[in-house]
Order: sequence, then structure tokens, then C-alpha cells
Amino acid sequence: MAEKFIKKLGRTLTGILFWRELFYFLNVLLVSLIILEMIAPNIVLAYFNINYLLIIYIIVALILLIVTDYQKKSE
Amino acid sequence: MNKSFFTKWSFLFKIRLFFGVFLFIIIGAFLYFKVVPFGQITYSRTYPEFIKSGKGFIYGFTPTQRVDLKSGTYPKLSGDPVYFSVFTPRTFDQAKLTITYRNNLSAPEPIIEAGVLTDKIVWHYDLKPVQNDVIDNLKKSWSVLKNGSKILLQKNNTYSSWADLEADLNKGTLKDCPGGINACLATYNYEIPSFYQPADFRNSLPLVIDTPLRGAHQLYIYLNNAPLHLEFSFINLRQDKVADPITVNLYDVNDHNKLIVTKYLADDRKDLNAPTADSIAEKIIIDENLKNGLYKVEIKVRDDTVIKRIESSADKLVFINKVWPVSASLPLSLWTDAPYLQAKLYSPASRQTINFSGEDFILDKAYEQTDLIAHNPTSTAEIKLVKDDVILENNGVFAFSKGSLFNPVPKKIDRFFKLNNNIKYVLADYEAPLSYTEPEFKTQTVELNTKAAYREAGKYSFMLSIPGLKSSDISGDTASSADNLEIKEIKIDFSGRTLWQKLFALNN
Repeated sequence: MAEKFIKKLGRTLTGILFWRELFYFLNVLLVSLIILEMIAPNIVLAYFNINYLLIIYIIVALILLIVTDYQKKSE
Repeated sequence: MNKSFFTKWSFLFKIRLFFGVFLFIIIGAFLYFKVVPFGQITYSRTYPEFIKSGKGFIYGFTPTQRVDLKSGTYPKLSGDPVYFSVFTPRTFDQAKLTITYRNNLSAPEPIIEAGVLTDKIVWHYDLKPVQNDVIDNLKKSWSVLKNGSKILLQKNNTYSSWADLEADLNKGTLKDCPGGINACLATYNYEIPSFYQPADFRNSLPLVIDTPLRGAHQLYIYLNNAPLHLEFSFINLRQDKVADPITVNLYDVNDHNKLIVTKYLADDRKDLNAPTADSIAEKIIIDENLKNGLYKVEIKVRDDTVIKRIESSADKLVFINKVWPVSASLPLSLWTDAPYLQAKLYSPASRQTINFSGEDFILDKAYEQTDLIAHNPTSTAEIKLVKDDVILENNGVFAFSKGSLFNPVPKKIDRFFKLNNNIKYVLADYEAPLSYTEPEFKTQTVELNTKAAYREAGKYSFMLSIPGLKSSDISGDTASSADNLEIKEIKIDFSGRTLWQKLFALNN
């Protein structure tokens, strides 16, 4: 079941590419929001809890690791 | 744009373009909400709350002992006052505070007010009416004359036009008031032009008040054929590690409270944390050649500063609403014109039996306000203290001698207000709250000037005041009082300068 899901996530090269780019995007977004929060305190946290983004970031990072590992094994 | 144009782009380029635009939109949105370029934004908080995406802008009620968050769906305010702060990413000029609430209060708490902190030194909130049962009840039996939010309640239907009323007020008279305006008028959230003249027209005589007074005080001085000379001697106790500046403002009451002079003494301590055992003496002198009339003096100091001595060229001098005699350790006698007194002991050593209006009242609880109500009220009541260090408050004035006592303003409606035969008019700037869609709930909007409000760490401090509401259990974690005010929603519409107005002002 889990293997099927991983296969689905990173079946093609573009699939891996997507997860990698999403990971980079979340990296930049996270850093940008933290910098924004440092420049103008509370402006991000009042609207949005960065912890939620951090959770998504960790999930995406794990998916990327699993998909990359699966890709390497299948090669 | 044809299809082949996009198909030429690689998948990597397309996905990076998509995420780039998305990132730009997110950052742009946060910057937009930081700058608020159109100068208007609304923040709200609705109860009960389930999932919050962020911290929000309207923070929780404090102190927590006066708020019951557990026993019902909505937070119940069961003590007075209750504060909440509001974070704003920039400053605004005006705030429209809309409160939706369920009133579970009884007769002893007829007034609900809301306001914003305007002065942190004297801890002053600019309060506006939310609900006033005294006026709402009076509306049912007296004739009502309205002019926008302004309202005149008349015992007899004397005035039929607002213009006639204003013309009379500007002359310092009212129809059917032989004893003068102050005898037959009560006000609420309404300032009327002052034409006060004392009954005795003798020239002003010098006066010295040697009783030390702690913290901020306000005075009325009536000047008659003498130049104004005021000398205030201060002692900065330096018991805390906060700067203690001193400001004395002089206003002309007859000229719409126009500021005549302001004197300021900064706290020159370089290091507030450095140990300073010695108190420091300072002095402010005001010398002005002024015409005869009524003047108001505002002494803005923190509670760490004592007004040791006041010298005045005019003996008609009274303290407005509050007096805090301290440190003389001697019996003391004062006079007031209000039929009640709110006394608060600053230390357990000040516990005593106080004599007010000929009756004895036991003050045995320190740090807690006690209401003393005279059963046989007179126009001038004497207060006899065995020991000082007692904060005395009411909605009248205080003087250190009977001859100095005068009150130049009409009675103000507060929770102790009792209608007597002399009161024929009530003037107020007040509109009753509206009914909400849900039964039992009411909604009221108050307009507050945030341009003059105090803002710290990006937050304005708001207050909800229900005078007389006391938590029956202030020792536990939460309050448990039968009388309470349930808050369903708080909404604040802020408005201020637009980005273009700010830029324009910068260019100037």
C-alpha cells in the first residue's frame, strides 16, 4: 500500500522535480516569512502560525527523501 | 499568445515561475496588511473560538480573575475593569469599537463603558458609553429632545428646539432654573460651556496646602482679581525603576479648556536600575497674568511622585474626582460635595474608622475599594480621616477647607446618581445599544480617537468598564459572580491616513 503511494508520488522524473521544487519553494517561503516577522514583529504571526508551514515543510522534506530513495533503488 | 509559446518552456521553468509568482503574492499580501495603504482595516474576534490560523489582533481579557472562560459559551466579565489589547501593524487615527454582548447585570451596575488608553503615566482611558440604564430608564418617563447622538431629557417639556437650548447654554442659563445651571442639570458624556461664578465675589487670597498628595491630581482654581501664581513642590520617591517625569498643564475652562501653559520636568536618571535610596525634590512654578475666571490644572505624575506642597494665589481651589493624602501620619479633614465616597487603603497600616458626612464607616480591607454612601447627604460633606494614605474618589470635588469648596460643573451621571427634585434636565451624548439578531444580545459601537491614544509594542490598550461590578471570588483562578457581561464579539474598524497621504506629508 505504502509502496504504491510512493510510486504514485515520484513515478516520473517530473514527479521528483515537483517535490524538489516544492521543497525549495517552502524553504524560501519559510525564510522570507521569518525575515518579515523579524523586520515587522507580529505581522505574519497575527495572521498565520508559521508552525503550520513548518509541519508542511517537514512532510514535504520526508516525501522528497522517500521519493529520491525510491528512484535511486529503482535505477 | 498561442499554445506553442508555453509548450516551449520547460517543466522546471514553468514550476519555478508558478512558485515564484505564488511567493511574490504571499509576501505582497503580508506587506499590504503591514502598510494598510488605503488606511482602513477591520479586526474582529468572535467567541467561542475553535481553530485560529494565527495569534490574531485582539488579545485576551485581563486580569484573568475577572473573566470566566469556563462556565459558558462566551467569556463572562465579572469584575471591573477588564482590559484587552489590540495589535495593529501601524498607527490609526480613529477606531470604531463594536461590542456584541449579553447583559446579565443588575441594578447596582447600570453603566457599561468602553475606551482606549490615552495616558500611561496617569493611566487614563478615554471612556465612551456602551449602555446607560439610568438614561434609558429616564427616557421612558421624561420628554426627549434629540440632536444626532446628543439627547436632552426634560422633566417638564420646556425646550422644543435644540437651537434654543444651545443658545441658553451659551449664555450660561437654562429655563426654569433659578438656582443656576448646576442646580438643575445633570450630564453624561457631555461637556457644556462653563460660566461659573462663585456666590461670593471676594478677591482671591493666597492658599498653602501642606498635606502631601501622592500621584496624579487635577484641580479647579477660581481666580478673582489676582495674578495666578502656582508653586508645586514634588518629591520623587524613587521606589521603582521607572522614569518619573512631571507634567503640569494649565487650561482655561471658560475658553473650551484651551491649554495656556505646560511645564515639564524630565526624570534625569541615566540608569533607572541603579540603586537610588534618596528621594529627589523638584519644583514647578507657574506665573501667569490671567483674567478672572475658572482654570483647570492637571498634574500628571506617576504614583512614585508626591506633591509635597501647593502654594496658590487663589484660595478657591478644589481637587477634581480624586485626592490621595499621604505620609503626614496625622488626622486629616477634607470636604466634598458628592453624597458618596470611594475609599481605597494603600497599605494595611491605614485601616481605620473614617467619618463621612457625620457617619462612621470601617475601612478594614487594604487595596480594595470601599463604597461609603451617606444616608443623609448634604451639599458639603466633611471627611475625617484618622490616618492618611487613603485614596478618596467620587464624581465631585474635594477641598481642604469648607470655604475653598466649590464645584463649577453640573452633576455627572454615574452609578450612584439619584434623581432629586432639583434636577430638571439631563444632557447626554449617548445612544442606546441596538438589539442583535440573537435574542438577549445587544450591540453598540463607540468611536474612539486613537490619534491621541497610547500605543506600546504595536498595541493599543482598551478597557471595558462596568463600575460597581465586583467578582465574588477574586481569590480563585476564575471569577464566579451572578452579575456578568457576556461578550460574543469584538470588532474594531480602524481608519487613518492612506499611504498616499503619508507620502504627501513626507514630501512636505
